[in-house]
Amino acid sequence: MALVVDDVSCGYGGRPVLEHVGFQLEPGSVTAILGPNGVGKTTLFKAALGFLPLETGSVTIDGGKIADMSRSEIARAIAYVPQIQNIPFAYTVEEAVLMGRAPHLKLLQQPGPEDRRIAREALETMGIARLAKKTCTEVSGGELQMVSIARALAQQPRYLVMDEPTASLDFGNQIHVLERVIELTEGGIGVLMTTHDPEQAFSLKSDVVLLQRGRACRCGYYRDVLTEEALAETYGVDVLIRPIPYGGKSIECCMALIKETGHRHRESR
Amino acid sequence: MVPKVREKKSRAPFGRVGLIVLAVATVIVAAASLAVGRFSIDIGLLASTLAHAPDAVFALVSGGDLTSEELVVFKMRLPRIIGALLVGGALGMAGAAFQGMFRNPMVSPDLLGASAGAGFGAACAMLAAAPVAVISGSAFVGGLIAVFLTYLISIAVGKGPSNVIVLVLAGVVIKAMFEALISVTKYVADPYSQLPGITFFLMGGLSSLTWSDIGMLCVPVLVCGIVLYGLRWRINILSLDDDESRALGVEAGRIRVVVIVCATLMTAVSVAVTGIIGWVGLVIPHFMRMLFGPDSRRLLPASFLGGAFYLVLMDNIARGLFPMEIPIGILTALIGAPVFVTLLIKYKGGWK
Repeated sequence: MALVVDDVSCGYGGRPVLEHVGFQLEPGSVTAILGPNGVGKTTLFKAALGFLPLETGSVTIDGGKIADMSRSEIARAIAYVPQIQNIPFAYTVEEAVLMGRAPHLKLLQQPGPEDRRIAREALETMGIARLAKKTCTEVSGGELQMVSIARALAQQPRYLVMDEPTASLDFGNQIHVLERVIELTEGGIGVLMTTHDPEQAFSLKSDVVLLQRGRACRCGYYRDVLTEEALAETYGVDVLIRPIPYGGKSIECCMALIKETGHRHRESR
Repeated sequence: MVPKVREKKSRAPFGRVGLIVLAVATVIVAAASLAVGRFSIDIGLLASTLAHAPDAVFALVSGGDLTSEELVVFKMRLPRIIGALLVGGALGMAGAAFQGMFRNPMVSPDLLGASAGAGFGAACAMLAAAPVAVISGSAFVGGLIAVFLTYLISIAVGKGPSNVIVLVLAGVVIKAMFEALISVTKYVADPYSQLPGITFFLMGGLSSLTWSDIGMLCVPVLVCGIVLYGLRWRINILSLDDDESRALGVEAGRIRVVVIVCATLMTAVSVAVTGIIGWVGLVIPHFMRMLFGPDSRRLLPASFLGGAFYLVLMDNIARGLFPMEIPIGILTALIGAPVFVTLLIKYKGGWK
């Protein structure tokens, strides 16, 4: 039982983006995809969702090859939480979440009471049941992200693929989303997410796929992969990783350093 | 105890009850329209005429004698009213389907060029003095080509049909092109026998509708309407990003083609039978979205009913308000344009 990306190479129109990338996502765990802009994070999860043709390798869900599965079969196993919710019409939150039932319904079938109950539950899981009748254009960015996740949950998937779930969210909402991610994994869902913030991998204690320039890739437990050296090499900046004592435990903190330029002597003010 | 959070109210106020009210209102207006026109028939006479409907229909079919009231009601007004219901419903529903499909609330059969393309197709067939069925077919082909071209341009120029400005501009270009082509057909038409026919036809009017036109109209409109109604929930999903709808297990391509073909066919047969009646496909879905919200499960039937209601009402004004009948296409444009602008101003972002 796992989502297995095995030796995958793919790209767009003959231009290779990923070469021989492999990792495994267990149910109930998180894997974070990290890497600089334009290195292929989005490409990697599009490959995992079966959106892109693969040049080499395969993606399998719990033993079944994605290439042999129908769209709705895949959608019942993996759900996708897009980065920016671009909903052109002002659907209510309830209607938007109900759309997650699509892979379970036939072409001409309408969602029934059971589907509405599942959508309700998804709203409650994400703590936004009170927004059900509001329109998606009325809710805040953080709430909209919760709506996206609730819609994905309504698919009743075993795996969630999230494209930068914390992008464009404020300081607090970023943490709220991560808390929900942890709750979901506790419920047995495997979460694959892209992020720009290595710190999140530390907070989630997740597995990591670190994509580097020149189509290199390192995978493994965050502590093994995300070293100061590896992050410095990947992002081209100096990185500090330090343990901070907190409540008898030690929390690892990761930050990038801004180079001293000689113009930044604010302390002397 | 967890304090109960009060649910916030939805902005779209009407649900299933609203649809029923709209349906009843449409039936009432349609029935009342039987009494409207130059030949005045009061309610009592209308009621007694309708009471003899079976006899009159029999006489109509078998070519028997009819009283003048029966002739006016059953041979002239009834097909016209049914035609208005079907055409209005078709245009309204097609507009709502197009808007969902192109993820673009500014789209309508007119703006996509479907009407102009269908008009050109019909005009060509009229030039060749083709029978009605060929005019319809030719209108459909013209409409489909126009929508297809608009779609292609929007993909080539912008990042796809959800870019409002690009799609609208592409529609304007294609519409202008087909209008120029229509002018060509007018230019080469025989000025005595063909030109007046084509010109009046393109102005859009319901006055010449006969029972055989209704026969032409009702099958494609009802079949396409039922297909779109069946797909109503899928249309919601297609209004999302392609990647999102794919991740929801919906392969957008095929369903999108079915929806576009149905909406275009509905528009094209309407144009073939009544000429170009503009604005209905834009104004009605907008108005219905304000009343019923954007969910196609309610929006599609509401747009059909709303379009039917609106066109019957407009037709009554067209033939009842002035001593001489005005072509209804002129009326829907004269009324539709300012109503639309008013709606836009009043609801600013709410037109989504």
